[in-house]
Amino acid sequence: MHGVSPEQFAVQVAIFLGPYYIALALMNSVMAFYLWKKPEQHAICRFKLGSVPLAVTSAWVWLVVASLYVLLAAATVGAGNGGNLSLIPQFPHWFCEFVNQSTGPVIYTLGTTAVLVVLYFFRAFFVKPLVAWTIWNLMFLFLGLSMPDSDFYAIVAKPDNVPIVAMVFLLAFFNWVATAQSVVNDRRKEEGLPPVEKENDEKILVWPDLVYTEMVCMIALTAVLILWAILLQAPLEEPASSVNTPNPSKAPWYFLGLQEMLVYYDPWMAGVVLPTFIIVGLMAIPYIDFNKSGSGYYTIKERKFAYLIFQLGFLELWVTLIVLGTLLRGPNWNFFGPYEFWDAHKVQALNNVNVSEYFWQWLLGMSLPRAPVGSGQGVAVGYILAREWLGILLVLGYFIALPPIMAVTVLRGFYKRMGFVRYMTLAMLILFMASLPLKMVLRWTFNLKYIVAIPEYFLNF
Amino acid sequence: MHVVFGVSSLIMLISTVWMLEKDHNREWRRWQMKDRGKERWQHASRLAETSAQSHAALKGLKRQLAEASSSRIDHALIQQVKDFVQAEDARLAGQGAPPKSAEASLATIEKELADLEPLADEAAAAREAVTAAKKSAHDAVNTKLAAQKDPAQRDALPKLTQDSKSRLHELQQKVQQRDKAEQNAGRGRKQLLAAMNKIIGEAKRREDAFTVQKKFVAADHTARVSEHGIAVGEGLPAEQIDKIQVEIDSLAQKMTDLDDQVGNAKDYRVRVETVRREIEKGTTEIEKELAAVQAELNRIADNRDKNSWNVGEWLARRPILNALYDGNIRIEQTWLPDIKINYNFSEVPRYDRCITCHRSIDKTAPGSPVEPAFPALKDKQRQRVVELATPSKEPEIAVSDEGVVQVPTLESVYGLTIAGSGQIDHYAVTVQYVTAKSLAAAAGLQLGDIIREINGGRVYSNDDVEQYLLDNAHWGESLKLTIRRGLGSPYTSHPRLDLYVGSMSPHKKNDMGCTICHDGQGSATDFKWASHTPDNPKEADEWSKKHGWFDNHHWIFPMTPDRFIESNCLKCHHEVAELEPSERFPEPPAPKLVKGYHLIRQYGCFGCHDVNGYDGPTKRIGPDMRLEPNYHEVAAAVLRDNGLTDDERESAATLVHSPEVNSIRHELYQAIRRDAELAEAGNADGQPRLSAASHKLADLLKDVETPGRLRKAGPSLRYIASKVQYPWLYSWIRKPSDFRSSTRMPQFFGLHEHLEKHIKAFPDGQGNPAGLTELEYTRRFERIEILALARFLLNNSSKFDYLNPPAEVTTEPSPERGKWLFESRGCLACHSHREFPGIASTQGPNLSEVSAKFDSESGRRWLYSWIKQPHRYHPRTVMPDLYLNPIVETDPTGQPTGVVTDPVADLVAYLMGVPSDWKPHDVPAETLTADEKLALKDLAAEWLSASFPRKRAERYANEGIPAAQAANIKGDERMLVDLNDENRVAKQLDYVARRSISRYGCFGCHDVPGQEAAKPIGTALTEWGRKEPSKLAFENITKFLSTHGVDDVTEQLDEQAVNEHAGEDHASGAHAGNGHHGVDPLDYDDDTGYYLQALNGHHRQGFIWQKLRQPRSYDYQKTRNKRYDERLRMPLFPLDIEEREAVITFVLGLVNEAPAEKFVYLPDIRQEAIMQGRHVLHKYNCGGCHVLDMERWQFGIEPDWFEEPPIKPEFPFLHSEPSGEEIAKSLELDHRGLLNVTLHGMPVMSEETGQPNLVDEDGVPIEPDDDESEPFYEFTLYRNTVVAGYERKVGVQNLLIPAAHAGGGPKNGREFPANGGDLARYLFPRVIAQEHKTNPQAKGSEAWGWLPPPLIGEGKKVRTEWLHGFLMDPTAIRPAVVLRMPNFHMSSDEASALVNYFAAKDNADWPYEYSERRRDAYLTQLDQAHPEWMDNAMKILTDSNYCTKCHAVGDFFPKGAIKTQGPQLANVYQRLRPTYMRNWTASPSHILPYTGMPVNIPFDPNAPHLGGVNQALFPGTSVDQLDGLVDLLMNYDDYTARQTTIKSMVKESSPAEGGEQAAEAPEPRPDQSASDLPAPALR
Repeated sequence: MHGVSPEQFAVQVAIFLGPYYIALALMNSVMAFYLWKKPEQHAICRFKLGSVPLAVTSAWVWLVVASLYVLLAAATVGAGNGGNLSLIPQFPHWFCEFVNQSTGPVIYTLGTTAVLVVLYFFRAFFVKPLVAWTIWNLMFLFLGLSMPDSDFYAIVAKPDNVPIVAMVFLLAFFNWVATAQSVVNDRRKEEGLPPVEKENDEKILVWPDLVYTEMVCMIALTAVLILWAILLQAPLEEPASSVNTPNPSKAPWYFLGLQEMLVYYDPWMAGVVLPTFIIVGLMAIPYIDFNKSGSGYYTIKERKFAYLIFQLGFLELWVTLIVLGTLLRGPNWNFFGPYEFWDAHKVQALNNVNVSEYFWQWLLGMSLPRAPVGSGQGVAVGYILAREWLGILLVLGYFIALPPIMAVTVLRGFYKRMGFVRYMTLAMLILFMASLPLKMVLRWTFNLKYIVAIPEYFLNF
Repeated sequence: MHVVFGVSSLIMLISTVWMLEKDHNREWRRWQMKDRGKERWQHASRLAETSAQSHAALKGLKRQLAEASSSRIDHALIQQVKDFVQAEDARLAGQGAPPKSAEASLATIEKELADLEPLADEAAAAREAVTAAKKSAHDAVNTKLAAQKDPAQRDALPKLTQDSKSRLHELQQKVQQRDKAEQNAGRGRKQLLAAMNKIIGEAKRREDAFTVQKKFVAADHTARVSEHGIAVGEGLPAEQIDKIQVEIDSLAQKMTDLDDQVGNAKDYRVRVETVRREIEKGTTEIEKELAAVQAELNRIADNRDKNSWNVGEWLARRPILNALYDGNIRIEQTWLPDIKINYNFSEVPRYDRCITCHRSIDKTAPGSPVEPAFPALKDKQRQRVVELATPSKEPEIAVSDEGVVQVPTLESVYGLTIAGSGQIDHYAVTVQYVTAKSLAAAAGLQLGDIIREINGGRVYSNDDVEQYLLDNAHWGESLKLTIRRGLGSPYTSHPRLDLYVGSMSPHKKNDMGCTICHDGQGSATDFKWASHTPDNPKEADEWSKKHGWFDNHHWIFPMTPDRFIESNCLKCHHEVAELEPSERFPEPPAPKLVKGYHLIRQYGCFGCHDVNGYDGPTKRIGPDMRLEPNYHEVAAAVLRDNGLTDDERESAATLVHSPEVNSIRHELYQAIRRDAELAEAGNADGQPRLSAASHKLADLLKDVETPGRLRKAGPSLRYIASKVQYPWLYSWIRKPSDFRSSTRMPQFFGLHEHLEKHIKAFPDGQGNPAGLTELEYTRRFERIEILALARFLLNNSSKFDYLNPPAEVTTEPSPERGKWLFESRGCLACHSHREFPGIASTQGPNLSEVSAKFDSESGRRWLYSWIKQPHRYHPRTVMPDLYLNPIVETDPTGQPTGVVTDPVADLVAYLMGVPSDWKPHDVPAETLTADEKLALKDLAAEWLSASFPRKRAERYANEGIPAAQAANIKGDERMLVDLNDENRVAKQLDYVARRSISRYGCFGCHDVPGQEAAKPIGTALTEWGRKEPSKLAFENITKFLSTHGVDDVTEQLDEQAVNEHAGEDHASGAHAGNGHHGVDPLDYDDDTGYYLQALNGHHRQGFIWQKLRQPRSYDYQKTRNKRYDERLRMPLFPLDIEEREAVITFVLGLVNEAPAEKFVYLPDIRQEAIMQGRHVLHKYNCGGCHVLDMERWQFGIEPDWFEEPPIKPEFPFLHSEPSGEEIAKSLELDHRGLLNVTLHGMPVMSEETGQPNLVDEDGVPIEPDDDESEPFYEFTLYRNTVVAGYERKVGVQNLLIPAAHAGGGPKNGREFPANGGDLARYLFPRVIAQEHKTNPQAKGSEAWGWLPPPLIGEGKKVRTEWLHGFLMDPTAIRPAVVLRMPNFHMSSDEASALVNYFAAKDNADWPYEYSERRRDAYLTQLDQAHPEWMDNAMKILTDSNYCTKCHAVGDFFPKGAIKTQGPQLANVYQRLRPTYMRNWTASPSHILPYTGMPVNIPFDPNAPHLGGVNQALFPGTSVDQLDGLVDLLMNYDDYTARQTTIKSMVKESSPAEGGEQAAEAPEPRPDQSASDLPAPALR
């Protein structure tokens, strides 16, 4: 809010929120209209007004919601017009404070995991249109009520970040589409019916049907890009300077997941090894995947393993980390609550300890083995190995001992059906993928810095 | 799907169109179109004005033309034509050629001539009839109007109406008749002329025919001549050749004939043509005038059309078409390849596109090269109220020439025209033009003024104006018009076109662009992206609403706000002195910046903050403000060493006073180094004599690469114990402004606004058993610190030998005498004192209260010594030695009365006698109480904990540092070794004091013993103007301001105030809400609001503002987690709001961004000398006494105001004739119709008050209560000036100049004040009063001669070598002067700088000047030509009527009052330049108008010998006499030397002794020996 007084900010925010709430009201009105027009309607309750029988259907509910949005819009515009920030509908101060206080990387990561788990197990409930629509509405409402907070606004309304916010909504929508169809298909499977896609299996022509559709998509996309360019102009920042780098320095949004890994891993690991494995892993999927079912239709039950691994990798380890990196990582890469001012002077205590230090200093009460001054390279390496033996052992154990153990226990079926090479590839990929959440947990629980720390050769793990 | 396709395509189409629209209609287009509209409006208005002005002229001219072309034709002229025709006919007949008769034409002419006469008469009669009819119609109409208003005449009304109607009708008929008659007559004239043209045409035809014939014959002739030549060459027979010759001859004859014919025909034609021209003469001249008027109108109309709408441009401006041609709307830019902008990784040329919108930025007013066409006025100045008088009675209705009734209009009544539309805002009611000398012009209305209200009523349309001014006006009562004048940005011109942008300015638009001075994003063409910066929060608010402005953090060079615009001058003007007002730019170019510079110099900010102007030894990057190397302090410290040899001691003593003498410094350095080497080498080569401390100091004597130049701002503390006592010193350190509110010493202690009363310094029980609050904790320590500092300074002071009054003094000191001495001997030039309210200089301290400071015997003695010889106490002081030697009193006859007074003692008596009620208060005893001892221990522990762990620090503070540790300890901690019960307190105090001095950096301003090697403690400011705001610690400042308020807290010691502030919880803090936003800038005035906004936005402007206001406030809520020595230590300087801003302006200009060398200000050698001189002038405050530049009055005046000056005979060499160009320039009228005059000099001052005399038109002084008379000033010129066509010379006549009604200065102009001379002006009435006590007849006008002289023309006056010597060691010159030039002990370099300054300023030669008059060749020649030249001159010199009447010459001293005496003449040859001496003697008042010196050798071209003195004294003309006198004075030494003989004094040496030497002695050259001169007359 630098250089902008609260009054000016109120005007600014109301200019956005007024139309926003109106749009939401329209969205719900359209929904109500759609439901009202729908042939079969379930009445929530019925009563008689005089002699006229009335049935309260869900269309009514959404009409009420729409009118609530209209009220919100009116309140916002009225307050904004008077330059009165505090009268714009918003979350109460204590709520914002509570959210700020209670969030952090741990809560955020574990929270999203928990949410995803809940969503997975109760997917049949969540994909119900009514429920999904309610969640959809709540998401919008959350955004709207958060906007009058200048700090939240500063982050979310930054032209760079707008696509990320849009991405959250888009992802929610597409996930819902896919999951909803999978749920339907899985149920039909149980009832012995073919998937929906099989049922409407009519053939259409590439020309004109597909090409026509593609052209329409192209036009719509171009129009969106033009409008985007007009409405949200790319910010021109100051000339780059080697003595004065931006704080926070952020990668392009699609790399922010990678940047988040840097918190936990050494650059060579987070910036080179893990991205390589991501690409290699994605390329390897067709060769690893032996599950023939689920082709051409949405299903979860028939491809549970693939589904879970994908959702873990994409939603959990990629998207949520992007959101984290974009919206919640501020100056000095510190974590900031959504309603917290990005104060460059905030300092967080970051004292992390290596496995070797745990072993030598804490457990044995000795100082770390250090090569005597003037000793040769071989001796030095020997000392390093002596210092780090436990970490090296753990890492080697993780990558060498775990695959065979898994092959005989949890992944026995896989090993049988895939053969050695394919199984080992899969195991390696999964282990590398799992190394990130594992490291995160270790960091949070033990302040663990590196399992193997050899800064002498820039080799940390 | 088709619907989807349709919809998406539609969206695509709309978005594409939208994109095109957005891309095309960018902001600058709108501005540019509006600016074109403004230009069009301007031209249209000027067109309307010009055509209205020329309307009458056009009409008159047309009438004249009609009259002229219908007038009679003189018969005699026609007769002439007839005669010509007949003569020609006769001539042709004589040649046998049948005359082509002009009969027909002649007949027509005669007929028309006859017809014309009655017609012309008729026309004339018709004209008269019109005049009569017009008068009667006018009367009739007005009678009717009168009747309409008069109820009594109602009955007669119908008849009157009828009457007026018929009269008007009649008039119209008469006009028609007149026009018809004129047409008829005109037709007749035309036919007559046509006939005449026929005659001319015929003559021309004949002329042409002959010419053609001649051409053919000539061609034949040439051909034959060539044929003849070929024939001769081929050797053809003679007869053939002859034959050709015959042909040639005949052709030649033909040519001659034809020539004759052509000539005749031409003569004839020309004669007739002359007659025709004579007939047409009346009309052609009128036609020419008409064409000229029309051409001017067409020119303006063309300009208007250029900015008007037209189809072609409109089409070209459409998108896409626009790519082919821009339709005159385009982005304009200045490309600056050499003025680069730093983009961190590369330096990029600037493209300044500012002029795209600011199109009129370089437009000047018509007729002026520097005055802006569209002045940029501040918002407050734009809004104004004017009073418009109405006619005393209702205006009459006029009837036009054409018989049309003209109702009074705004134009006819007020001379006011309202435009159809506004300039920028279409609907604004705008003045189109104002007729000269009308009521509107008298009210001061101007073209472009927007009328907003009339008598409080809002004006919405042009009709409203008519309503108010005509229909509803009360005639005779004036109306109040609220108007808005001028245009807003970007339509205005640059306000200083003389300095910037303009083609005549040093910063031309195309060379400099805009952003090098203004900063901002030059490439941008949108308001918000150009990084405009508002000057206050209201403006910011307005901008963000109007233009979508926002504070763009991403552009690192935001535009400099208006208040700091001068900062950027420093990029190129590193010396600052060149930014002071000068001859060329009398309007100060950068007053705020210069003020800031001088404040920083005065307050000595550079003592702590390095401002380095060099990057490497020669590369300049900005202003250089650094301390001089402290050689003198080192020398003073070395002097304390007892081991010094006598030579070394002398060297050191010299260095103390003259540290600039490098050779001595090198010697001393070498000597100490040698001794130090002895010490390093051990005992082998002998014992070192000097102490280790001295050895360490040696390195400080080394050469410094580009040394700083500034002296420390404060006095030396080396002998402080001899000056003041403990209680005063304690309270001074505690709070300097307590004793002297105007002091420059800042306050270090008691700055507690940031401390909270209710917050404990530490949690209870953790080192804070007493439960002290932060405030108590700090106070406890500060008390000890101050005490320790005071005791340290007193204990470490060296012994000072006081001076005692001289023995010859016979009287007791007298405060009365002292008071007059204080007033008149120059003290007030630098010091102020409450008993002398008329003058307040800030160079030295205010001395009102010194009696309280020196309230002891030692203090009194110190004061005596200080006044007598200031440099004895502090070698680097700028306080001069005033030569206050004992005064031998004399009676009126000049005989000593036996009374000898001591002026110094008198001054001391006076200063100490002025009572002061100031007393030191709350000063703790010098010996400590138990509590204080405890606090002292705690404080010592606090300091120690910076180097030792806390627990050990506590122990060391109490028990001392064990001797075993001593070897490892460096720095001040060594003081604490060997602590025992006796010395504990003393040592702890010593330690604490040393730490405090280091911490607060006392040595930045003072010479503190033992701190010679200390380095400045503050942040370097060299690049502060670009300091990264993220590197500034804003800490909790917004919270502080929101809880403590934004008022200036000056009374820091007032416990009550601090506590109240701390306890309050302002409402403003609560409404901020978000924690990081404290106060709302909009709640404060513009200035405070600006800085608060800057603080909120974390800009450095806000940081430094708060740092200067409340330096410790950044420690708010921070001290609890800091050690005591980590706290902020910036002291509080007593700056007021404006001074603070001036300092900020300067500091923000320190950016280290010097552009390419060619842009950095590189003065030529004269300007350089002037700049360097200014530094010295400022340093020693020369302007305190002397006028350095006279006042400059610049004003406009009626062209006929000044009369022709009287002509006085003057010596030929004094005569000057202004050039024609100068005269023409002095007669030019500006757009106001006034002459522009610039005069240098000063108004005549009143002898009683010292204020400029106001006189009436006849020169009689105006009484103060006289409001009736028009006031005038008499102005004394100090520079010859061409005014109104004549040169006005100095000393001839004072000019009478109309005074401005409000305040001083001239009417229609302004005065630029004199530079310096405050004391002279202050003393002027006082010395007259003093003189009148003893000599009531004394002439007040000569009193200027008793005061420090104005240094005008000093460079041309004195010889450089003499001035240099004089400045180093001044001697008394003029006995009449009441005070003497003091001795500043300046260095030779400084004296040279001053000498060069004066010479450069007057364009005189320096460093050497050549004067022929003293050369032997000249003298030899003179003696040969005029053997008695010098002796005769001596007769004039010694004649009691002339020079010796007033001047001493050699051992002769004139009698008479001292006030009438002039300087000694025997040594003027050393002082004055010969030309000056000649001009001065010839006419003294031409040089100094006030001088009492008369013209001794008058010049009169008509008198015998051209005037001059008695021939008996000096035979010759007055010019010769003058020359003789000058020659004598210039060679006075030589002349007198010849009067004595040395030969007789030298005893003849015996050959045995001197033979050898005599042989070796060179032969005396003939010209060296006076005896060998060939002039026996000299004996």
